[in-house]
Amino acid sequence: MAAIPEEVFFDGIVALNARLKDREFSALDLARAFTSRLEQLGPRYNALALPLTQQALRKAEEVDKDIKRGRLRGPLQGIPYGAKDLLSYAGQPTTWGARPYAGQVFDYHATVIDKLDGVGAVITGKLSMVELAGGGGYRYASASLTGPGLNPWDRSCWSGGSSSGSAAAVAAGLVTFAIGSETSGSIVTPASFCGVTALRPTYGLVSRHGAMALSWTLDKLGPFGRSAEDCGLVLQVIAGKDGKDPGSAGKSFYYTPQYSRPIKDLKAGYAPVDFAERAEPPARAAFAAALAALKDAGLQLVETKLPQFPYGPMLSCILAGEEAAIFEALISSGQVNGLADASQIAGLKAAGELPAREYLKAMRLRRLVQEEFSRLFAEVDVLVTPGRSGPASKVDQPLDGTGTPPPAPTPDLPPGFQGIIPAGNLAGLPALVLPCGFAGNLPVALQVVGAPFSENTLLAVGREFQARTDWHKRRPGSR
Amino acid sequence: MARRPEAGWGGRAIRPRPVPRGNLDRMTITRRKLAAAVLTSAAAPLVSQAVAQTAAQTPTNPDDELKAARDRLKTNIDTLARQTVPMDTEPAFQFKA
Repeated sequence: MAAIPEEVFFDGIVALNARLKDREFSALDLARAFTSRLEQLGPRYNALALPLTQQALRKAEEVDKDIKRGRLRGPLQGIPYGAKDLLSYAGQPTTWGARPYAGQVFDYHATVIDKLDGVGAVITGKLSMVELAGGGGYRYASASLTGPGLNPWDRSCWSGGSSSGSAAAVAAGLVTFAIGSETSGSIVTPASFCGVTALRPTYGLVSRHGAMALSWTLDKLGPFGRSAEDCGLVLQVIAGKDGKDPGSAGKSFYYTPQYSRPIKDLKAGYAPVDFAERAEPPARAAFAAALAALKDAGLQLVETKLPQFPYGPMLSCILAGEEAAIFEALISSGQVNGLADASQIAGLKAAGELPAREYLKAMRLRRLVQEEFSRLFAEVDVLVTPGRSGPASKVDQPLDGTGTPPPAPTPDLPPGFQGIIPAGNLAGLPALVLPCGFAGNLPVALQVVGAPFSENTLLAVGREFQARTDWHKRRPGSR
Repeated sequence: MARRPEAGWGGRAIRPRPVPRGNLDRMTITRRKLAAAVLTSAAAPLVSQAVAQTAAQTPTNPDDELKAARDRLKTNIDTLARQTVPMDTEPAFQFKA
């Protein structure tokens, strides 16, 4: 068995695939090294829900045979990855991070897992998550069957939620990429807190067949990786029409950086207040430097205002209406009381009391939000905001019920793009998270949001930013 | 509930699978098989360790929690009530931009 050098655990997809094709080591050697590392270090960050070691080794043997016979299946062939534990894997427990579902087993794979299997990617484990992806609204990071997600940069801090394990596992070099999900903030927040690149795709671009439903009209699946390029390569595989997902947009995605518009031709809307006064003081220097790097790259930054809507209350009402219907059996059976977070239990019970009229009011307002964003994206190509206003919170700090540390009150400041996470999710917009520096010992990140199906534009901005900075290459313990 | 396979158009690639049963009362396996799956899974030690960790959370009064959740819901509803929506605005059920 070939020895796997430490830096391999932090290689991007293209570099790792090239090493496999060059026979520097076999896919089996790689899978052995990654599964061992995941089993050993995953629990250190409460990032591992279920190791799939035997499955990974079998798949890696197949990959080696394919490579030997010249059956090359693209850059993901032989690459180890993990999937959030809300995705079904046939014959193995899929817990949704929640004690009432600890023994749940499905007899089929989620579509994204099937698609990744088809190109030779090697799943090494299921990654931990906030229970029910945060449905009901959790107050503590400990709202998970696997305990609070711990941040690889500082284990006294939270890794973010609800895709806690996906972000932490990529940051710690336990997998090369991971699949997570977002209903409102569950990709953006953990990616920002753990300092990894991640992409929330346009609603409907990636099939959710085999994924736990929290909100039929808000849920999205997306990749966490080492770079914008890695996210593009993964998205190309997992995107596409799926008749098994009623929300499928019926569109494919081809990662085509060679055809992207030059960054100097792009106009980015932003609100300076987000990067200065609204940002937490330790993060401001990093945000200022990141904006300067984007300007140096030629991106035209123009001050823009977010259309004013009560995004948070709108999203909460829509989520309440849908989650109450989805988890009706859990709630009515009383088994909801087996969840770890008292606030979440109460939130799910109360959600059932939302009148249909209020759900529909929120959905009608949502139509207006979509129209306003259409107008906004006629003026700018992308929006640039902080991923989160500051670094990860302490793991025992109470959250605000939406998986977010409560912001410091700033009543006299303009709102900026404060509501961009619920707004972007209500409008089904894609977002790319780019690590952009540190606040103390913890990473912070930018978020680039675009019009529906503008993923290639977002990735072009990300590639340009990452060509000029090396924040995405930093790793815990060696910055 | 896991998402259910749709009927599709009977194309070659869409092979109907048995309906997945994500509900607690409609599990695909018996309780005995279910327990075996969990106990024999390599995650079992992780699960028990984590359950111990989550149990350390400060206990709260469920009635107070429920009241607080209802208050949050009412606050959200009241916020939406202040918004005017043109009568001809239909709910956003289509997201295919």
